[in-house]
Amino acid sequence: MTTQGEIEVLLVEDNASDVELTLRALQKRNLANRVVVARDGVEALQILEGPAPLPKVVLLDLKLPKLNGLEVLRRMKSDERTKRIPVVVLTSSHEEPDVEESYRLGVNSYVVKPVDFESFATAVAEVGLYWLLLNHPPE
Amino acid sequence: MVTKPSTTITAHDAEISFRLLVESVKDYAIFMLDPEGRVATWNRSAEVIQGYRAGEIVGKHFSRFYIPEDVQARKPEQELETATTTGRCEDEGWRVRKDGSRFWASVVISAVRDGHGKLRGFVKVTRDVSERRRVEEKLRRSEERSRQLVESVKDYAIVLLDTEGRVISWHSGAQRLKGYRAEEILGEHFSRFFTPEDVAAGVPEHHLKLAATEGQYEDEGWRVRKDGSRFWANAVLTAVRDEHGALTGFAKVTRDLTERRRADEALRAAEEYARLVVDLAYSAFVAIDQDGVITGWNRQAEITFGWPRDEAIGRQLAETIIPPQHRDAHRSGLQRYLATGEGPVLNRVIEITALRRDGSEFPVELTISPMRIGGKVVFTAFIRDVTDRKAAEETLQRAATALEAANAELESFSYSVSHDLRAPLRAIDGYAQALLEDHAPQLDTEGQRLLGVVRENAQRMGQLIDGLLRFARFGRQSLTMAPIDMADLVNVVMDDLRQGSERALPPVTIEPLPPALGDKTLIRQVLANLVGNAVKFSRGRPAPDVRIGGRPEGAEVIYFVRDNGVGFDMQYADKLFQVFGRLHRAEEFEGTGVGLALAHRIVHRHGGRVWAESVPGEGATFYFTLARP
Repeated sequence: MTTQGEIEVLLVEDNASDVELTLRALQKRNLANRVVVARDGVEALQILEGPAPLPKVVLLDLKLPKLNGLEVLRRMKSDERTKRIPVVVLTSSHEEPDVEESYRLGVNSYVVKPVDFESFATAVAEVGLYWLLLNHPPE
Repeated sequence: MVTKPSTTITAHDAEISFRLLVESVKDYAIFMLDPEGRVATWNRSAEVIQGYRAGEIVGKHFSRFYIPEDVQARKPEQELETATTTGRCEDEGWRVRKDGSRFWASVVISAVRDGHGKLRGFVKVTRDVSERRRVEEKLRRSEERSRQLVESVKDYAIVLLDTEGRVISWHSGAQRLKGYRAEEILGEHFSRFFTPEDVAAGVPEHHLKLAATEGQYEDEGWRVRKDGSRFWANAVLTAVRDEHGALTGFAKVTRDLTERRRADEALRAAEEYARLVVDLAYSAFVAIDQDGVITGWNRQAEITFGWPRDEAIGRQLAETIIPPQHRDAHRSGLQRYLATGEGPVLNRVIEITALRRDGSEFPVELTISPMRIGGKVVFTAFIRDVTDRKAAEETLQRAATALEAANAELESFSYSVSHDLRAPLRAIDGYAQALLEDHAPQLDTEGQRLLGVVRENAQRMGQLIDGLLRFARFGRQSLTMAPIDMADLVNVVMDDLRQGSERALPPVTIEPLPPALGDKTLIRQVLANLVGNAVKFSRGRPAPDVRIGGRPEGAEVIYFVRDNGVGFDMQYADKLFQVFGRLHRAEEFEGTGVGLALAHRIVHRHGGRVWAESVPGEGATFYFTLARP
């Protein structure tokens, strides 16, 4: 899914259906062409720690193989290079105790899956990333 | 004439004989007075008793034998007159000797008349009875002293009985003790001081018999007062005999020992009580002296340690119940306390290992108290075998660990439910939506409706899962108790409801609400569920009316939320508070069936109660109680 140039969004998600539905939601607003998908926590960190430019925003699922989302979040927030990247947590439910823990670790917002565009827009608005949306005129 | 001389001789002889007789009488002064009272004859004894020789006194008037006061009172003349008229005058009184000394005399004066009745004079017999009088006086004084002594005795009854046991003397002490006045009891048999049982058994007579044969008989027992009340007495019955050894009666000294007996009994009871407390104690009781030798050992100690009391007493404590590895510590601790008064293990509950006779060791809990009795240090200990408790504690600990594990498992289960169960639901919903969005033209209206139903159900299952998770989470969450301003909290809940509802809420009347004690976050959840239900179920009524109120009752507050909605059949009331328990079809009223179960769980965790009353079609009232702050 990696495209040329800057990564706009790093989607960390292991569930293939959720990946497809999320991309579909982003695609509707022409955001999907700059989306990179990591299928587990280790892969997410490799991308973040690799030579590629940093994404503008990270959509992070919490339950991931190998390294879970909270651990990815903790590492990002403790790394000078990545700590300022806004993170939007993807949750299965508002009721999850993990939501609280995510906030404690410095998450910027969260979106309940599957990601519909409206809630994604709200979350992005919360983290002050209007420009991400504004920079992409509809095709 | 023949007879005359002989008569004369005879009379003469008689006179001589009489004179000899009178002369020989030693203890009596016997002499004659002429009719005027002058001394006519005198004898040896008169000389000894009165001090005059015959030559000095014959012819003198007898009044000189009297003391001046009597002479002045003409007593000598009166006595002669009495003797003259009655033939005889007896008198006892002071008389005077020649040397002026006085003596107590017993005097008899008899008139002497001739054959014609003419007064010829008087015979006066005087006896010196000073000695007898002295003895009598002494006796009288002694008796008086005894009487006074007996009278002054307060706590004893000293009673004289005759040989038959009848009361012949009484005094104030006896009256005080037994209640009888002298006139009531004198002459009565002393058996009336005994209880009817004793009397029936012949006890009084038996006592008399024993006193008579043994000289004295002492007894302790119940006695009866005049008013019938009983007292515990010590009685000493002593036989009284005259100088010849003949029984003249009994002296009975009775003392009221009721008080002493009561004190004795109280002391005995206290001792018995202490002994029983120690002996029946569930704990083993062990006492040692300052040398570490066992001096006390109760029944439980026998059971706990396997040593019978008589074997344990006298043994060294260390070698009896202390395992070898702790003996040095015990000995040095004992020495240290005796030397310094310090004992870190004393007067508090400690847990150590103890030794049974069979060599097995087991955990005990004990308290050792030192005490000083009669200048000596004694250590007492109450010891409890805690083997069972330890085992129970371990079982409990294992159960707690297991419970913790189960909780952790539940937690991870919830997590799985939350994540893994939702993933396929999301896919169903998401792909159905994608199908609707991208391929609507290929589907007819019915096809689209069916896809809509698929989505609705997927979403509903998502809600159910959320409800279940919430229920599990609130049930586990720890409570933060604080006073809650319920009126304030109800307003917050109303605001939430207004914001979450697309439609206007029915009118809600809020009565004054007393405060309660609880976890504000959780109680808010309860109110949200109850008020939310009231609003939901009264919606669609012509004039929906919801009312919220509360009143204190005892230590708690009863709150209610009432609506005039559809209500429910009381027959199914128990189903109300079950998870997913619903009394209405989903098409009628939305909801997951978790709300009331959650409210029920939260209130129960607060120690309160929840219940509901309803008449179908007329509305329902839900009650819950919380503690008053």
